[in-house]
Amino acid sequence: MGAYPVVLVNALDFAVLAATLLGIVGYGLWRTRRDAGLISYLKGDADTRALAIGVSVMATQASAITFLSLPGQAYESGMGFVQNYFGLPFALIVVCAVFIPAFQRWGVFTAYEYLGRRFDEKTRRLGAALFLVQRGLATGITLYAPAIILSALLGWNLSATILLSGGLVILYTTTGGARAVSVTQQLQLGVAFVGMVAAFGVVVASLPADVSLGQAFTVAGKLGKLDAVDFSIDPSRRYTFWSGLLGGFFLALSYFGADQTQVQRYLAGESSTRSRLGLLFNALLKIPMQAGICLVGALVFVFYQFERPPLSFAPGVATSPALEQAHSAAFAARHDSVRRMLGAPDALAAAAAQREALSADARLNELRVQARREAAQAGGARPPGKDSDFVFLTFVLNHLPRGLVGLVVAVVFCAAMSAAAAGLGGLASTTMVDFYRPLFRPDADEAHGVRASRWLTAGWGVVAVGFALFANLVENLIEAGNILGSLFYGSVLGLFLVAFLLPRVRGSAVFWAGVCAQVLVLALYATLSISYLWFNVIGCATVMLLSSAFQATIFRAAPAENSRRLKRTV
Amino acid sequence: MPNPVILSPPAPKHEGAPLFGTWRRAYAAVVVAFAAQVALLWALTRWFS
Repeated sequence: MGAYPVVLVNALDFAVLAATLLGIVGYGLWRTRRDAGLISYLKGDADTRALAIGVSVMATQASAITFLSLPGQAYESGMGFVQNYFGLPFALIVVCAVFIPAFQRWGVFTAYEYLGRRFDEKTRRLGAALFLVQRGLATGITLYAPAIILSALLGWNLSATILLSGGLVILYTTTGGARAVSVTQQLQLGVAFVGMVAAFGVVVASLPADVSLGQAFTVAGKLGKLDAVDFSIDPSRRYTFWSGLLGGFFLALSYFGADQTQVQRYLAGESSTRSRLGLLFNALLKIPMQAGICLVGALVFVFYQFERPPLSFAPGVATSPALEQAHSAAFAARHDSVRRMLGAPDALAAAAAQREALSADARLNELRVQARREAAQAGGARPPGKDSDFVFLTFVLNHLPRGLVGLVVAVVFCAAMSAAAAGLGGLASTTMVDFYRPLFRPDADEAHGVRASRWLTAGWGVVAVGFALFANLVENLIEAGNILGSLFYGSVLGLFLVAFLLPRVRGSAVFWAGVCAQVLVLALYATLSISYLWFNVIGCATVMLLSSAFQATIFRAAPAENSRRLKRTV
Repeated sequence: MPNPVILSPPAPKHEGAPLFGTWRRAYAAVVVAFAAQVALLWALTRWFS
């Protein structure tokens, strides 16, 4: 058994999938059937409630990869990944306290419009352009990543899968703008919640009858899958409380403060109160949500203690009989050790069985890596993505009842569509507000504004789908988006932090500091092999340091000119 | 010249003081909730390991 064979979803699954997707798209189109004007198209309805903003923010961040990769991550390495979100609540407090008042006070449509008010037009365009490059590519990845996993496991055509999800997103986002994104995201997140709860229930129900939920947690814990918090200060450890708190804070601040995809979500609504409540909703629920998804992965791991997992979860990895035999023996050893651990008469016997189970588990992991390596050496097709990306969906396809399989596949589609729709909304509003309108049609009426915004949304949709169709992306899908973000987020966040924290710095100084920082980050990425998370810090710190230095030296005469401009604006 | 549609939306209400202001309690509640969540996850880590 190299891998489970490709599973075809049946008619009931297709019916559930089609009804869910078409129902949500139809609801989005129906709710936004009346033309509500340009402000509504770009920002959403003025009466958008705080809960709707909170759900929209959460759905934007939770892409399909969250639901596919996170359980696999917990299956492979335990729940430690959840620590990456520990900085998020604090970042959201800063966004509520500093960013939202600034954005709302100026009544801006995009985050970069604020840079124009605080500095000048060229700094505004720099921030907006960096966002467009990064988000334009990232939205393509958002559509591509789940499509390649679904097509590999279900035997669907990759291009057709991308076109289906991308086409539906373009349809309702172009028609309804930010309003359509918001109303569909509420349903999409609802479907995701129901699907994940159902998957959790099925994992628990699929455990052997003589294994209680408490014992399942014991197995997961003893084999290191429930290690969610690590206070170690050892820098070689990948996920710790401290790295999650500091690195996560920085990433979340960049994402929520300087990425129009999110800024557009919480600027919907008429008051900063609603924006703040929507973000604090996420500050409270993000960690439990991610922990819950990780827990599903940890329980899938427990399930595979009692049923032999495939040697490779990714389909299409040919394995040798010798490897299969070794895998079978290692599984039997782990299964016996786990059984002995659960039935151990004393702590000493339990500890001995735990050591044996851990050793057998390590052997199984080695065999998975070896199978992949041998398949690559044999010249076979390289399986897409990491093997762990396929764990959750492999379990779903083979062990969930019919109908529920369709629902979980719908969860993946919904998550991809909600993240991509928010991406298109952010891209279109930034292009419209920061480039098209001020540069080409400053005197255009509202009808023209709506029409142009629709074309821009559709245009960005075509770009994202085209990128997804023709991109031959890197192996690690979840990392691709993070790397892309880290290359640009640091410089853009730097522009905003200078705006808030360094009142003496003016437009020209921060603009050239931003340009230098971005060039430096791209040069370092091309020449150094350091963790991509550092690029956020390098980009941001470079903007802050260089802008201060430039202001104190090259642009010393600028404050007088700028204060005249500020007086005019106020 | 600012565009009347794009740059002049209905004036948003701006509540509270510039920094933490009246939201201090809400932010404190988020910090307390974070501490409780970490404590729960830490207990999960310790209890079953």
